[in-house]
Amino acid sequence: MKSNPGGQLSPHQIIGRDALIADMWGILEGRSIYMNDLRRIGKTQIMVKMHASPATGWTTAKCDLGGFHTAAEFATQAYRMSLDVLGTKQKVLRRMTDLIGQVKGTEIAGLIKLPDGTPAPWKEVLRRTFADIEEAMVALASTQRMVFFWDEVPFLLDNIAKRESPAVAMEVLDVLRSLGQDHDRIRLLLTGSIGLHHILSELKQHGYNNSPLNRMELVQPGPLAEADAITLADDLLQGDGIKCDERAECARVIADAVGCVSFYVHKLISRLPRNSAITPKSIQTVLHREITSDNNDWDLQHYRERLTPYYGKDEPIALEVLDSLAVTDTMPFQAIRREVAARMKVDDERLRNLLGLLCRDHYLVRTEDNHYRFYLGLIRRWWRLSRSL
Amino acid sequence: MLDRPFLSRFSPQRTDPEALEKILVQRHDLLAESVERIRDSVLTDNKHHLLFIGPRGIGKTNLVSLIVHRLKKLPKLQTKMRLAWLNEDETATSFLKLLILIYRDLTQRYPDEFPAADLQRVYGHKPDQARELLGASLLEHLGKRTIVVIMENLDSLFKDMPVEEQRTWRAFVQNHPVFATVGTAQSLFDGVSERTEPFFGFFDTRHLDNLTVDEAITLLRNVAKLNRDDKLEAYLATPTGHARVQAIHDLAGGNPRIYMVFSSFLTVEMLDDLVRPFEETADQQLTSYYQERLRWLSAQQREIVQYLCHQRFPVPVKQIAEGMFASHQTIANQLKILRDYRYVRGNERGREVLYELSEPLMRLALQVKETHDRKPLSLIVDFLRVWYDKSDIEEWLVRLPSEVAARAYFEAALELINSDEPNLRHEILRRCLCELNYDRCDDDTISTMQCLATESGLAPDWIRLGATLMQRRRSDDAIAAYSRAIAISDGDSDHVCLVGAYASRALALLMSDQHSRAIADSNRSLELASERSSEDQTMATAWTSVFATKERSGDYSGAFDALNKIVGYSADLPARRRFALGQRAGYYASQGKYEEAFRDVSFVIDDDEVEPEELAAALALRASVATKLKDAATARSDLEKIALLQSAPFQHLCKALLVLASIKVAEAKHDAALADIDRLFSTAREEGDHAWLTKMAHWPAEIVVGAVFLRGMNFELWTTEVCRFVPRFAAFGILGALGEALVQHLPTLGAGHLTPKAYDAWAVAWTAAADSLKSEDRQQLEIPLRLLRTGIAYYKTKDEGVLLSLPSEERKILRQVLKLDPEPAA
Repeated sequence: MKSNPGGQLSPHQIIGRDALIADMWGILEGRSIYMNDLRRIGKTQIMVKMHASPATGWTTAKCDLGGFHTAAEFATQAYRMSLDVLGTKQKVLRRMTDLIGQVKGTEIAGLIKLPDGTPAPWKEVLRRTFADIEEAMVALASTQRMVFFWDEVPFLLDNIAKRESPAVAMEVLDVLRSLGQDHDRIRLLLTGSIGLHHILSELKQHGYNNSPLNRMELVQPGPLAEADAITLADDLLQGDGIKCDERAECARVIADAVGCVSFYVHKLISRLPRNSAITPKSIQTVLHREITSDNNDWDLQHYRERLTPYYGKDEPIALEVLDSLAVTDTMPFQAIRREVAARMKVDDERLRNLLGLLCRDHYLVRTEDNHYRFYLGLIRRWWRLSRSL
Repeated sequence: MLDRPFLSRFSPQRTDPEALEKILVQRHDLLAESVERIRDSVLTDNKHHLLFIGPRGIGKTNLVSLIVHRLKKLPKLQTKMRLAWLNEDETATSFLKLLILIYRDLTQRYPDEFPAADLQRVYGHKPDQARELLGASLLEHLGKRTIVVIMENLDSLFKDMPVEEQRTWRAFVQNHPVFATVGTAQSLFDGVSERTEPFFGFFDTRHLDNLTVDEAITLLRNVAKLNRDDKLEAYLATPTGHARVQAIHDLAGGNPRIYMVFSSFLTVEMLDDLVRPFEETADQQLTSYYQERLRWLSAQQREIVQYLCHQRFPVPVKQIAEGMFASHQTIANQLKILRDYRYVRGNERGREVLYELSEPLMRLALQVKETHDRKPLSLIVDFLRVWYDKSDIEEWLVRLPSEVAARAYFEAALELINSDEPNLRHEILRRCLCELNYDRCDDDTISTMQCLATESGLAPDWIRLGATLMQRRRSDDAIAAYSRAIAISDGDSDHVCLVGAYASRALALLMSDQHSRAIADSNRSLELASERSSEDQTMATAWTSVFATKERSGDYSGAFDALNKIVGYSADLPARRRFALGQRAGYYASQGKYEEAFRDVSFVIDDDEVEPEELAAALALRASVATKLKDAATARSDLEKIALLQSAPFQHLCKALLVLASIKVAEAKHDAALADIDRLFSTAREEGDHAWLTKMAHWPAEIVVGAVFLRGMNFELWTTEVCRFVPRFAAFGILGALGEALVQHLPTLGAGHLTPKAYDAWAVAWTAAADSLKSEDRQQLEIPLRLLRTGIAYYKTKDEGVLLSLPSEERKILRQVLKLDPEPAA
């Protein structure tokens, strides 16, 4: 197994996540899922693994929607995915066949058209497709269900808002919500590179007031479990033929240094020297050089830069909180309050609210014993370096 | 010339790949690894997307050509891989257009497999439909194979493609994992490095490094070998050849293309053949590119770039600001932007940052633009006067006919050599040697220093060589170098150098245990300095050697007086003053004059320019002095400062952590103490230093046993914590110390009046931890555990009879620990 930061992995080379995936299949029994987390945390890999080995009783279809720019393209794609999965027999997708006739639906390119040559209405395509799938699932078995793994949903909505209008993007969201409620045999697992809340806040400026995610389970996968991250690092060190005397220890140091994020494990290992044996110390040196170099592509600076637009006048407080947690591993609310209050005036409610936002934006996480800490050790490490703490 | 293989300086794809293989340097591993990754992409479901980044001339196309060459030679791939290589200057404003470019290249390479008619068929459709048709066609013809797309100048492609189209591209690649990519870019660009962009983190990016001096030499030797120029190949292996390439390297950076160009000029015949074509190529290919890049900048940023083009060496912000007639702050701000845009790069020298162009070819291109009437390009003239000696150039000028183009270059070089300008080669070498840390000098650097000192015949060059040799513990060679410096400066009546050379030789003599000669040299140094009422710096230098000789001979009073003199003369010499104050503080402390020691060492700590290593040593000293002065707060604060120092020397850091942990145990802050010990182990592991920890093992062992026990009667926590720390001691091979601490801790256990359950829990915790170890480690804890269990049995029963379960030697130890009377003699 070779390091492959950012590339596509065979499902069997996606290490770990087994417990999370089992949980997610359990959740899908009851409701759809919206998966949200930092970019490159491994959301797509989870989908790939679930798609490659579905749980018993599940039919799956997976697609990256970032390439679709209109609601009609999206609806056509949903129909095509259903065709791919269920086959083109006359019995299935009866409602869609009634709508478009026998031939049109199998066209290679272009939107689905009605027999008279006019484009089929996208909402109707989606409704009929979902109803046909529901029927097909019932016919297959009493407990059979289908799940759509839809990646890059925020990109799709943004594309539609730009190409058509924000109103159409809102309609897509509402139709999806309503279809999700109406069809118990169909579930959605949605995700994307950027948080859907960014698109929703854009749409809210155009009058959107619904909560399309409120019936969905929100899942934040987080980094890999430590043992899985170590296994991954160990496999990659072996696969890349990297020389090291203490491979197990080096794997542990790598996993720990990058906060057990699979992408960063791949990335760090891809940057390790090939011509000399690595040691725990040299791993730290490489990581230090990587994240502090002028030419680095880790984009950790993003976490500093986005404080200004995200937090506005609360930016100084956010900085103070993050600086404090960068030098102290975990802190309860009162300790953070003391640190901040020693430097500026702040009331408790404002600070509580800010800590909540820092957690939502994946800077911090609340531990089981109600302390706060950095969400990723790597960001904490970079924060200390970049701010000379 | 005719039997030389053709090496294109600007279009590596026109060069025979076998020749590229022969001259390849530095990138063997990267090349092999990249080929392996693409091979993996073709043969498995993993798809790799590689992106090589580096400025013009760094060798991107060269590398890509070799990757393709090697891939084509792998028989297993031929039926499973299809290649599409997009031209360097291709533009695509949409994913459809990119798809067309890829498909068009495929139809040219594999006309039977990818019919051109499919491409014609998409024209006339709406873009979305055309994209879908062509995509389907490509996938259908590709079948189960993988397409390897080579895309040069990916940054330009991204610049022209809107983000929505990039999303479409990415989605296509994600939905159809049949693509592997090998891309290149001049610099990292937002499209792949900004978190909000579709392709963020998608590519496995590799920055191509400039060549080091050694790699440049290898490249030049490889080219000479390819050209069958044995004489040049052999010369490049000599110390003089090394020193010349070192000077060239500092002049032109490590850009491989520059070396390829220079390799053409290493023989005069080739210089004559190539100088004009080179000028023209540089003019046509480079100037327009760099002018275009300059157009993106503001007027002031352009001025800064042009100013740097005219500087031979990196320059500080202050100098640029003066040259621009602008404020320091303004220029610093602009430089930050230029650094972010990668037009310039900063080199740290101490606390100062020196700036230079990040692409030396930009200087060459602007010189072409600024050089009128076909005057020689100054970079090449500089190259000639660095590479050749004056006599070589004079010899060439005698031999060269007046009409050849190269003559003007030699004439310009000779004119500069004969002028008042300092010798450029020596100046460059001196500059780059000055920037080196003495302790990082290798044998090649020492050879370069020897060449420089021999060629220049200047005393400071010999003194620098001597200092480096001292650092390498080569005291005899250092003495010889200083002796040369003494002879030269005596002849030149260079009083300052003479004092320095005697003082330095005294230190070298001390190193080789020639005490009486060392004393004579240090006395001579002081005499000379005093005779001519020298500057403070010279006096401080002389007194430093006196201090060293006095201290070595055990004359501590004399050494102390010398330190006072150094302090007196070094008011304006911060580094020397810190050294003297630090040493004097140590003397005061040893004499019990803690307040004076505290004062001196505080000066060192408060100096803004103090180096981390000095600071750590000074903080450690002050912590110890403050303890004597009962100033616990300062002692603790200093130790915490050491623990927070980013680059505190390992031993200072570890000692600080141990002392802090002991203080925290005394304050009943057991968790914090254990956290310090945890960090101690992490630091030692990162540092790979087992020796120090082995020596001090008893200390963390006592802290761990004591702190874990005192955390409270939480039996589960005892087991957790003991199981956490025992493997750490095992990893460092210091379980013996832990076992000893465990046994020595028995009286504390006994004094705690524990319940039987608690006694058992303590024993269980340690037994569980030992059981988790490998058998050879576990054995080390067997005796301590036996003593622990027996000791506990005694505390529970107060019956000395339980000790009889132990062998007599162990019984004896346990009786001592438990403070029981010795057994009566049999």
